[in-house]
Amino acid sequence: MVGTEQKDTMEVSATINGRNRRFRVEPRVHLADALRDELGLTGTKVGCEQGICGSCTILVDGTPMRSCLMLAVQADGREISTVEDLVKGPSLGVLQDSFHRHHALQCGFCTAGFLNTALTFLRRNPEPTRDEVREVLSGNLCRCTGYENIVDAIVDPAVLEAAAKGEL
Amino acid sequence: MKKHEVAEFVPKATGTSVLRREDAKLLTGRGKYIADIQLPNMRHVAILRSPFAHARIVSIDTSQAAAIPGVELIWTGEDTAPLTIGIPTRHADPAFQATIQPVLAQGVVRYVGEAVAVVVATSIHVAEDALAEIMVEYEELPAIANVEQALESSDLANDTLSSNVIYRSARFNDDVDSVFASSACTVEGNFRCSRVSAAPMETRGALAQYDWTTEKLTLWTATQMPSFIRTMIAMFAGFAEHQVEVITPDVGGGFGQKAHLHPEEILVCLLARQLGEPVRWIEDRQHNFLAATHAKQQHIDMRLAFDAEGRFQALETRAVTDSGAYNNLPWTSLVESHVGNAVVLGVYKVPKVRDESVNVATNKVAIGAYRGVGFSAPQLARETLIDKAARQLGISPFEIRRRNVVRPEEFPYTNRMGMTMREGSFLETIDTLEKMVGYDAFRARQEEARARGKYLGLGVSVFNEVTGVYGFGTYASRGAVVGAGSIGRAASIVRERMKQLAANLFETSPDDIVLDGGKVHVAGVPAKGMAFAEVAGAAYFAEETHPAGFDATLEATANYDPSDLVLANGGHVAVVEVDPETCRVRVVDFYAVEDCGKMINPMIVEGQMRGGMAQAIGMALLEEIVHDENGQLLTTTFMDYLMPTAQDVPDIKIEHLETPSPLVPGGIKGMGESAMISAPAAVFSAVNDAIAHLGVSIETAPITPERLYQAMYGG
Repeated sequence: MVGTEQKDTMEVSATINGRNRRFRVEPRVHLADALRDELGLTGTKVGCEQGICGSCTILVDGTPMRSCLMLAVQADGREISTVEDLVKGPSLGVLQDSFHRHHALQCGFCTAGFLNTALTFLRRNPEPTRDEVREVLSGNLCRCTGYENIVDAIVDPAVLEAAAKGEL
Repeated sequence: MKKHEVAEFVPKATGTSVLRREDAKLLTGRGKYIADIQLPNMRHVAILRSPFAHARIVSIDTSQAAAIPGVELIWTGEDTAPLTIGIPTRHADPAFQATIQPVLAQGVVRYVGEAVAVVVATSIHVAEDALAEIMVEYEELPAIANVEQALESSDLANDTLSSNVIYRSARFNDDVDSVFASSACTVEGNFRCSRVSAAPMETRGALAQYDWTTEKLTLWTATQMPSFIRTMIAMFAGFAEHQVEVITPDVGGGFGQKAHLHPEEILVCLLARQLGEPVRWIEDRQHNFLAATHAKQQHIDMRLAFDAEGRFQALETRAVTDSGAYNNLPWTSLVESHVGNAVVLGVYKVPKVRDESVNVATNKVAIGAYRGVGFSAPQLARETLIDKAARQLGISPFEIRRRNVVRPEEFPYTNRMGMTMREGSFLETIDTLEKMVGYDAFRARQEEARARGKYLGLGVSVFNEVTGVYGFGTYASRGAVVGAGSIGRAASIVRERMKQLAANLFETSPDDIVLDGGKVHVAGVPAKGMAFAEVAGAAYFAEETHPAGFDATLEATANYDPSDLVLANGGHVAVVEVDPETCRVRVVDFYAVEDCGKMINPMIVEGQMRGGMAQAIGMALLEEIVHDENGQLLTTTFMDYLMPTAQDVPDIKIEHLETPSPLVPGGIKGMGESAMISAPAAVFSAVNDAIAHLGVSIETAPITPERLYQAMYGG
């Protein structure tokens, strides 16, 4: 940010995508904004800032959290993982590749949130039914796909196999 | 070549579900949407919006806000008036009451959410802090909060208009009264489709940068129509068109909401020129509900007349659009009922029609385009009434439609309202849907479920859809038609040049040259050929091989305009289950048939269908923009405005038909809006079918549990 006339800031020290990061931020700034603006991690999207759409879902100590409902200062001492961290490249991970094959994204704005929600769910439950998947996904809004292809992507055999092996 | 003609088109990969190239970046957080673009020294915009639906602005004091460190500029309507007229609209018919929406209110606000002031600051937080310090004194004026008030009150929603009727059209006035009086079966309903929001997951946003040394304005904006925005910015923000470049970043959904010129787009350009630094506006969800266009709100009083065999005798419709205080650009408020009435006959043969469309001004944000535009509401009304007539006559909803759709031997068929259909698979659509549903067994299932205390219902909707219109962006299902046509024409220009050069190289006529599999060779003699790249190399580097007058430009731009309307068609069936105690509605089965001619990529086609059908469930059962009696907007979050979730949308069964268009290369038609044109009707009618045995009906969308309770049990 350019020459911001910032009010009092606090220092935050957290492990973000595997790296120790330190930054200063006003207490009122939420974590989604801090990730995007302070750390340049723009893969986390802000869809409503009201905690409902789930586009901003990240992992905090392995648990999916709505980063728009967390203050950045609450990340201090935590392990944060965003969509940028899920795949090292140069090829997509199993879940991402499944989304690709099943056309489980169109505009892509909600996708990071769905990936984080799906990953943590599959780690807990590697043999879900379609209805169980739909229930878990009900906290992530998608306007483009109608959800069916996302469900297909999550129960894809390659994905469930990786989940069962603990490789997700 | 006439502008609708294209040379021979030999599709090779069409019909295959090719995976998307853009997925990798979107799956790894590398997409660049408008809010992800950072420029050095970028400034941030916050907009102060009116809390009143209709009020005079008595005074605005920005002095305290301006004193906040980091605030660089605050403008009100006084500052923008000399710089821009705002957004004017017009129509060929002088009876249309044109409006001009200022970019910042000029002395009066006409809807809750109208922009009153703009703050530019070094951070968005500082800009929003400043909003709270701007002191505005308002004097409230009577608010026109709904259609009834607009028509009955002498107060004006917009005092630049001479009345609250923006436009009235009544194109057909057959003598239907005597038909209705004598018909064996008449059905009618007063349908109310509520206001909804297209609600893309990404809100709107724009970033402008002006460089006075090059006199170049660059506008990044989440739009569906960059070329159109460029021309409009030039016209209304006071730039020469050649100075303006509009860049569309990755866009997080539009569905029509981003197919308008937004006042904020003009504003950031003016601010960028004023400040000499990049200026970015990113809308939050609350402001998106307040200030982005709404859609679908029509009141439709419709009646249908049938003979004893269920054949259409007449259709009468009166549709009133709750238009808001201003017309949007470019569609105007006529995008709802005026447009909808033009296609109200759909694929049916109806001998007599009386229609009327009225657009009324209200103190709400402008109504605008949203997938399916003005077609969704009349389709909902008509198909619900057709199903009702079928029940009354004891005919199946599939059979009654079979008796009324245009038949293949009748093409080309021009309906009573002047729309010509050249081809279409209406009968096949109905037969396919009936088989997919297993309709023979359905009525028995319905009866059995009723005995168990669950009310099942089935609704049918059959449609056709205009695709491929001339224009300037991704809307109106035109992408495939216009894309195929223009790509085909541009490709044929380059193809002809390649053939000319190869003909010269092989001492034969261009007509004997074939381009195939990466090679250019003499027809029937593959050995007498070269690789594509070699011919291209000769074009660029070996001038001695060129024939006389040869144009070595292996690049072409072409435009294309289909010579006539290109109509896709299809249908939907929804099966719903109503819980008689909670009055909650569940869509248990959902079927779709789509005929968009020769499909280019079935995966993409089905993605559009499934996404649109989810939105259809939203329109029929969940989504409602609510204003109170003072025009105050009550739904500004997703807690109040219910979006379909993964639990609201069932798995969908799809079948495809392919009736090629004779007008478009490859037989391609467009699609994309079909689900929102037709599927809301199927869901809505299904609920009516579920409660028909109680002798009641419901005519307001969305069908909330509360509304359904009142319909079923009264009081």
